[in-house]
Amino acid sequence: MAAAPVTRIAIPPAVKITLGAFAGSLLLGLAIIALLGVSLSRALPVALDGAFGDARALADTLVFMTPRLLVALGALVAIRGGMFNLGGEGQLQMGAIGAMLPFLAFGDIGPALMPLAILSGALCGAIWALVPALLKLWRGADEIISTLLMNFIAIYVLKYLVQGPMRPEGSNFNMSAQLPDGGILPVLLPGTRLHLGVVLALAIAVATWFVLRHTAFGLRLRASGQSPRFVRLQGQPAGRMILSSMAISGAIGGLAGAFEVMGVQYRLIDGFSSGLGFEGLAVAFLAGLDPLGSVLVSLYFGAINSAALALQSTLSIPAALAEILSGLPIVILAVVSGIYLLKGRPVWNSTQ
Amino acid sequence: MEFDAITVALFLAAGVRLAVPVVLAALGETLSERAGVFTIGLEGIMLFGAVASAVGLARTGSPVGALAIGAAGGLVAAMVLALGTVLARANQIVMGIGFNLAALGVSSLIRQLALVDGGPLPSLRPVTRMEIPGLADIPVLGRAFFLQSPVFYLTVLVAVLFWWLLRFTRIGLVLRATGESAAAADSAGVPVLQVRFWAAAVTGLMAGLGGAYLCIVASGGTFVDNMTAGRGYLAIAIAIFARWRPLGVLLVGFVLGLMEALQFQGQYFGLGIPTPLLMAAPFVVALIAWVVMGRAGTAPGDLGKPFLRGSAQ
Repeated sequence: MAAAPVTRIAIPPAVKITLGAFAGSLLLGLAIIALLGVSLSRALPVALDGAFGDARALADTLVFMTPRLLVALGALVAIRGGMFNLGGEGQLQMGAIGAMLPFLAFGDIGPALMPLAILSGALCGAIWALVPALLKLWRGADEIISTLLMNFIAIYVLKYLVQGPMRPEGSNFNMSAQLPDGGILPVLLPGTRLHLGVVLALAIAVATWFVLRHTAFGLRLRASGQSPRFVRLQGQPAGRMILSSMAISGAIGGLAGAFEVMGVQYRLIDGFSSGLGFEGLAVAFLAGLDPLGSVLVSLYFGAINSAALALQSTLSIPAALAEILSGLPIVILAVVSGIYLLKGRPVWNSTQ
Repeated sequence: MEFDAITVALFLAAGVRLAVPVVLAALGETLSERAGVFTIGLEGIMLFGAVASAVGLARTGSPVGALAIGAAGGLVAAMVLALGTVLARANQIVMGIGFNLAALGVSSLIRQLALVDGGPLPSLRPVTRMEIPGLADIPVLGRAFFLQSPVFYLTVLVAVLFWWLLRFTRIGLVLRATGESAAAADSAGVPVLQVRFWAAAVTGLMAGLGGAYLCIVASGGTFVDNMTAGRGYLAIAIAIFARWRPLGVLLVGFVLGLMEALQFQGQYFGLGIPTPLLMAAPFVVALIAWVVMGRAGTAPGDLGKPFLRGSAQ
């Protein structure tokens, strides 16, 4: 009996490598769970339920996805344009601060507060990202180091604000006052944490994809990332490209922080991020700097985090598992892509 | 403002204490960057060093042994990282970011698995304080520099050793050539990948010891999740700021240590600067230095580039 003809879908090698990296890291995660003495038949249902089991679990997954997706989108806009923006963490911190500013300046002004807070968050992220861009244009300071350093400056600025100027009088906690209802992103599904920011983040992903793919700006951006010389020969001002891509990048990164404040914490809290910015960067690289791919990868990161929380509360499996499962695929991917560069040459030897 | 001798001596001593872990890591980073390898994973390596030393202390009860185990932990972590970045030519920055993320999780997992019981810690005296006879009696400076952890003396020795190594030895020449132009070094018969691998490994040894110092000497043997808190990144900044010169790393690290010390002593000096802003200061200074240096920086030519014979670099 002849086998039915199979339609072969051509999967690009990069996608295969990425899927392999995820599969490899998941297997390692399962091995860790087994090593902890928890049977997989107990752990797997808990993990899956925790990530997708019901509306609440699914909402949590999407809420965990959102900041990572936004930082990834911000990072990839800049990196596509040739600016290696490692400053997602700092831009996120600044966005979080920015989201509080309209409330602190104008008080409870009702529903107008929300759009103002979003704008202010994006603006603060953009300003933070413009600093390394200007330093690069002005002094040629390599942005890899300057964006990295500015992350830590932002973290301490936030710490300073919640310990002093933004701490409500009489409070002993390192956090700001709570945003009034007008500044809080509405919950879309009652009984869950699903807030408006999730939908906005997904919309921004589509918009980023569209701009990069289908607009003249996107084309110029990608061209300047691939060959700065080509752009200069064309008479395009490279400086303006650097500034605009970094401003957009920082604004999107800033939204990540603003939405965390407005949709999850409702206030500015010291240490609210714990490395979301770096996870977002990992998402961008794992997605091959593709906006729609970033949605999938950040969804995976969100699910891993929800699952890890469920595993911790039900089976006492350390939540550090989530960080391991976020870091491992990118390590695997980087190594495999490196080996791929070698095109079959032996790793230990550089001879052809 | 109070500027009596004891206050100044305590302030200098605190600066030295705070500088040690970052300087150790930065000295390591200097070596690998001179060889052309950008070790962004320094933060994660330090974490591995710290958690390894905590486990070592709990198991052996020996603070010196704990420091050695921490250094060994850093060495192993760095060798794993170098397998990827040097031999497999993984993108050094992407790999480093993933490595740091995973290290955060793995070190915290190790803490939860291997450090559950909080028994009494052994005395850490042998590694926290060693008096250099004679020199320790010098007013002000004696207390600051010669009544320190033996690890500090080791750090100074290593800085001088690295300076001599890079400047006056064949190994140093080979190392610098590898970082400057891997292709040229390769045609001169230098085993580029081996040089880079071992430079990266020594970086891990140093950063691991730095993490171990942080845990054993500075924090009394207790490992806290993410206890490096950005020190690995700061060490990278210091290596660059000092233009990849070991003695410069020592000096810059000490100045940044003093700035960090201001958070404890600043109030005594009558400075009204809030602690978080003082903590941010080293990063601001590093950023300013990075900018002032601009294009004039004498960076190794092939820094961050993977080496692949025969490919256009």
